[in-house]
Amino acid sequence: MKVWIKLVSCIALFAMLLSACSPAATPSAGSGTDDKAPVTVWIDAARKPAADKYLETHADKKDLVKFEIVDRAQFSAKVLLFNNAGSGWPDVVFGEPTIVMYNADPAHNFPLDLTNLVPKDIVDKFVPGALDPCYDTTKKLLCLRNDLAPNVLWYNKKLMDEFGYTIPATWEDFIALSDKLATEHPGYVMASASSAEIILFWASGCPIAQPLSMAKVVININDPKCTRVVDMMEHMLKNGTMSKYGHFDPKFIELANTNKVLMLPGAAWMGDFVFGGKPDSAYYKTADHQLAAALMPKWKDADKAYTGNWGGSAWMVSRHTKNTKLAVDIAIYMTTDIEIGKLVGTMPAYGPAAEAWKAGMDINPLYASNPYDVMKEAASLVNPAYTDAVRYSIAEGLKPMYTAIEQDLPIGPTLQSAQDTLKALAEKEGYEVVTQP
Amino acid sequence: MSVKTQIIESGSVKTKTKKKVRIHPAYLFLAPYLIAMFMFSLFPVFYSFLLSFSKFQEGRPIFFAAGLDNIITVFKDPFLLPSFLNVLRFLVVSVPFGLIFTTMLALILHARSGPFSSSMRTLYFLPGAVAGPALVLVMLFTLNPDLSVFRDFLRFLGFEDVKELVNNNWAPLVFTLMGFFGGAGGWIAIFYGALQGISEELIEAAIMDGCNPWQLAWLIKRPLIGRYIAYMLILVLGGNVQLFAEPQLTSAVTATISSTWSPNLLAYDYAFRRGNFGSGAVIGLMMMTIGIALAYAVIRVTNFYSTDVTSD
Repeated sequence: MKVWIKLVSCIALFAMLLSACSPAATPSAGSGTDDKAPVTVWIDAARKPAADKYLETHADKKDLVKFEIVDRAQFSAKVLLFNNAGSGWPDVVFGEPTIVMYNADPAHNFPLDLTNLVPKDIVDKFVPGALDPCYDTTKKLLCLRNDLAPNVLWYNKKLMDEFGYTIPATWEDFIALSDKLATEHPGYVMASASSAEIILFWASGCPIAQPLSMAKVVININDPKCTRVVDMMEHMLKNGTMSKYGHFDPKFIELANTNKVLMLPGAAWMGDFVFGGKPDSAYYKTADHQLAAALMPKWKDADKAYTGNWGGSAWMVSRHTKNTKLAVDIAIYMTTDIEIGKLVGTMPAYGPAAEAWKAGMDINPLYASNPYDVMKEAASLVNPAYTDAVRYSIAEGLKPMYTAIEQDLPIGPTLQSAQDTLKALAEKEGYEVVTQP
Repeated sequence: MSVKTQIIESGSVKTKTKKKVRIHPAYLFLAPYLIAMFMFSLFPVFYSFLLSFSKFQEGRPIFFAAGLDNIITVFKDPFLLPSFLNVLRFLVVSVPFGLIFTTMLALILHARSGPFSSSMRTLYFLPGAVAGPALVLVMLFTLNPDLSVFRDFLRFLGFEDVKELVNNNWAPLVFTLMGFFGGAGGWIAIFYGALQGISEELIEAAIMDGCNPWQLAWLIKRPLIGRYIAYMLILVLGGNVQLFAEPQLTSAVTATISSTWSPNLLAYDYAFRRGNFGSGAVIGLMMMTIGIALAYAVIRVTNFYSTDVTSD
């Protein structure tokens, strides 16, 4: 009996202690005017050369700036823990615009509004469309784009010439070409069903990720802009020209290794980093001047040949930073320095750095022709009716559809289930879901 | 037990008269465990209880501000029931599988003790030295007919692609296999230790009476280590309800496994993806309640705490 009294009083004591140390003051934002305050920068391993370059060229900042290599998949969770503790935030963070937007919600409230902190002439020099994913729904600039990753239509120029095919200008032509390919050259593929939400749905402007505000989103997978993509996928999976395997699945890599990939809608970085043309690269073992890029096809009734973004990262600044000037300067340096643009390898988002980067592809024996101009144009054609910067995982919501693809079942009947899952996921994030804008 | 406590109490009464505080040495020996248990088990439970009634602003808790909101959120969540059903499917496969195979392996190793048996015990133990998630990844490669060292065997069984094997239908068995090799070695060592404690005379007598090795293992040794098996049952039930790494890592491989496949993943999703630590804590407490209820059931059914003296 006495033990119980002790236990209860212990618990009561703890409750009192806890409520005493519960947070009273919320940390103030954007008041970082201390020029001597140290700055912590979170980067990934690929950003290490750029970090070294910064420290080399800014010897006077060496003691102030600390670069830390982290796993940015953990970043959102860490922010919540830092908020919980009231300290510990990094000052500058590297990550995709999706991560930026995810951490801009009221629960995380992390990125600093850069609208008035980055000079206008710098903003204007970014590749047209590059900064679009960095603006939130109220037009605040929350990040600076590091590199661009618009999807383009990669194709094997040699095979296309050999087969006597022309690049399809519309998706309708694309489907017609798939039938032709299936009968004339069975075994070749033109697309992968994987990541369809980023590549095919986004290009079509399928309304499953169309936020109207931070609290309202349009989700309607039964819209014709979605069903035409689903019809195309079913058709091409059936005639064998669309692989059900993902771009990095050993099965798909085997197809690419044996030169069975005629074309492939995919991200801009796939050229250098996936097709490769080096003995250890995933897709092409020899460079051989065979790879070229075209704009994504256009749906006949669409006004433009829209595309989507597969990655392409950015730099954001913490609203908790004590040294705003230095933190913003680092973000600007990392995105605009021409030499760093060359170091990193993916397409720089800053215009002058991108032009300098273009020259590298001229001399790369992988390409039949320099794909830079196509990439640059594609960057300005990212469909505004879709964004991956929503707080729910679109891929997770589409799992019913991907399950059907995985098991060779028809996709159509799974759409309602996908709609329900997407809606449930969005509602869990606090969105109100509507089917019409 | 009660006799002992009386002695202690009377002892302390004596010391009180001398106005000297004497701590029984047993408490000193228990202290490291008690402190750790309080800090890392009891306090977190108490804190989750507090969190489950807290509202969160920018990830910081405002205690008692949420009322029952977090609990209502969890029970309204359409992903809650599927996650518990998934884990139930997993328990139905993994618990009997684990119990039967570890007991069997321990009995077999004990039946022919010698250098072979002791080296096998070490071998079984080795995968347990690898951290769980790494083991899951190794298993994912092992089950991939394109990459596995057993690819010919997998192909012979008719599997052409990893997704034909690693998917929601096979998940309970696949997760069981992944977990089994991580944990089996430890339990085999415990069971083996328990088997070593069986008196030589008893085994000799059984053999003299004409027991063959199978009867010896099943009728003599197994009942004698029964309490250890019940102990394993309690821990495995409690542990397997908290399934986490296996579905988390396989959800990247197959579309059929959602990223909130198990209640623990759902709790993680609430807490660390959405900043709602309160609802995460509610699910944590639900899992704990289930674990305690199952443990209590096992204890009642097996007469776990009865000693030879009291059962007479």
